[in-house]
Amino acid sequence: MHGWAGKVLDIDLSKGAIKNYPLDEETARLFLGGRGLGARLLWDAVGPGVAPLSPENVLIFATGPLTATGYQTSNRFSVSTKSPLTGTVLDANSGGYWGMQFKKTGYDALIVRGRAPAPVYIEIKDAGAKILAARHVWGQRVRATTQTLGQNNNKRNVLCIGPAGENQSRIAAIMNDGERSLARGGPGAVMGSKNLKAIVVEGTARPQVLDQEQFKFMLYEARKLLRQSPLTSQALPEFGTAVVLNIVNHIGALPTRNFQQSQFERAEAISGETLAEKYLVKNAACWACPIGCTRVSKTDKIEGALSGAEGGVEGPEFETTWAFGAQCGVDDLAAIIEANAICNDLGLDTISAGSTLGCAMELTEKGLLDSDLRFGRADLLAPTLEALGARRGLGAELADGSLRLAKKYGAPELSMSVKGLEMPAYDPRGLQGQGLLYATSNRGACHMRGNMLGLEVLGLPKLIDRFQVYGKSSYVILHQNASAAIDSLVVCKFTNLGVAEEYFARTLSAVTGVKYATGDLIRVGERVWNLERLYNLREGFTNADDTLPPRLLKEPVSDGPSKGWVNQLEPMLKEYYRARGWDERGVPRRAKLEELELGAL
Amino acid sequence: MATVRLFGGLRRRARDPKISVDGVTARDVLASLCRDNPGLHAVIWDGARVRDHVRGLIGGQAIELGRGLATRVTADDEIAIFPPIGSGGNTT
Repeated sequence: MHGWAGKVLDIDLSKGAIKNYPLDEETARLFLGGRGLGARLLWDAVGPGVAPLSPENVLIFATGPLTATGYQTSNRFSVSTKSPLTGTVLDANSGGYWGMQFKKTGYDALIVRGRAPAPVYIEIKDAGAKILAARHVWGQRVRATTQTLGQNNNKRNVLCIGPAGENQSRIAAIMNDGERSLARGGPGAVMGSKNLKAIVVEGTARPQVLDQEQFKFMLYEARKLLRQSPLTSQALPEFGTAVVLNIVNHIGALPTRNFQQSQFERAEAISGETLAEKYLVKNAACWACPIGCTRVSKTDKIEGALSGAEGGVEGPEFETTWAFGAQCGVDDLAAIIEANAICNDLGLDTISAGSTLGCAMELTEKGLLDSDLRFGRADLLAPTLEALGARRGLGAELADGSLRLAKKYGAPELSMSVKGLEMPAYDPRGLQGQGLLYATSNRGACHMRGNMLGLEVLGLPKLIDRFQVYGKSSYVILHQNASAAIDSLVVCKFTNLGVAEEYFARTLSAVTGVKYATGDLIRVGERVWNLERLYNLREGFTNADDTLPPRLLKEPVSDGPSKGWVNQLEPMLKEYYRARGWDERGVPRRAKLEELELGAL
Repeated sequence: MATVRLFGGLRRRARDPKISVDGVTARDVLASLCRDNPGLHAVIWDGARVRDHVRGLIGGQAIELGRGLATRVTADDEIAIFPPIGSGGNTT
């Protein structure tokens, strides 16, 4: 095979068994890699009713046909599993170096099954894989584990969990290369439940590219387009993802104090502009990335064990800044940088952690929870996160996310989540399409399963009315399908700010020799989306789960540019099901499944 | 005089991130702003048009979805101008 390595590594930790087998070529053609391949393998590996933290669940690490080819941002990979936070199908993807290095060991995917009797880590080299004792790193935090196991960016790369994963926090992330994360939905807890501390990879095999001349041309084209785009050549390198905070706040769509308001009066203090002015050390980039959106930030609060190269830490990204900032009513950017660094070192999803803290603050202020947490208490972020990672005191309750917390204290409606996954930083009352996107996202509320911010706010590629309801579903579907395709290649979605899908399809064809037109590539995304939907339906999810928190459907925004609006989900949802080729209950029709070559499922 | 607030990379091209500017319409305000801060002109204007990815908001609402550059501006208005910024994907 070209592009694909052509092999799957399969490790059963209960039996200590390691085997490998060829990647099925038809599966590769239909699902590509990453998220798509992961969803297809998960469908067979984890049947209905499996408890996510039991040995019967699996972790599937998958790269794609472009991974490690040297194509722009071809460093990414994904993990797929059944989520311990939501019970849905889950994939999370990450950048850095690990994905590229894993592909170079000669595999497209790694399936980890079972549960080791004692803590272990897996080491994968060209010569094969080993299961090794991990007693010496069990209990260590992420930065220490990564260093102990020999991280060396272009040669040997470490993926691991921190204390949060070991303690099976349902919002625990898997971390790679020290500070990159497979964060959402709690994959770190699944890894912890398997007694698997880390996976170390060291490979030398480069993937085979079929048409070298065409591939070089596509590299040249992508480089040119990324250099020409002011988004990828100026805005992201200069300010990182936090550059959008001010505009989201300005239009009245920045959720504030657990979505009680939609504008944060101190937004400027935590903006990308302020981050660049006061705390930025430098920007950094993942392997083969010409954009370099990564922030390296430094404050007095992160000296010592938390700090990395040049005394700085990676991040914070926009979503993190929002989660510990506006969502918690905190305007202290240094405290937010510290909270981000602690989450990375404990191995925690920053969106879910920040949003769960915001939920706890509202529960406390409403007299439902007895705690010191209050909106604006920047001083409590760090100690509360430490308690969360250790499952100590109130931290034990926070560790399982906002929905379980809010249910326990009798107010599930105060969890700002969809299907149990905490919502990111856009208020669906001010962005109608984003609300539909959250409600229908297969892994729960997510801004990376398509994102309507481009169309509804930024004018990318054109501006549409953010309050418009009818007609929005077709845009949402297009974005969802495209995001699933990009997550299956796997490349970074920021590449897509300069490089259109047509270029990805041509590159994929040059690398693999399998002809993909643009429509074929988007069709892969639609196939993946429908397969994920089938997985959730098999688990018992219904159209009743395609919804938003009651606050967003019933409580109009009280002030600012989105004043008076709630999310008009119902008409959008009806239109969405119809446009997807699903019935009125949100079940894909037989004809749609046949069209997508999913009929056998 | 209306108040113009600049964001992102526009700030280092102007004398201040928050500037009071004269003008009856959005077009007047932008023209006046760029006369006083010449470094902004090439980033905001493409001939007689505002560049595609430059966003102008009055009261948090997109100027181009209303009356565009003909939108009338009062002394109480705050006009926010954002350079090209990106997030998520750019599916076409």
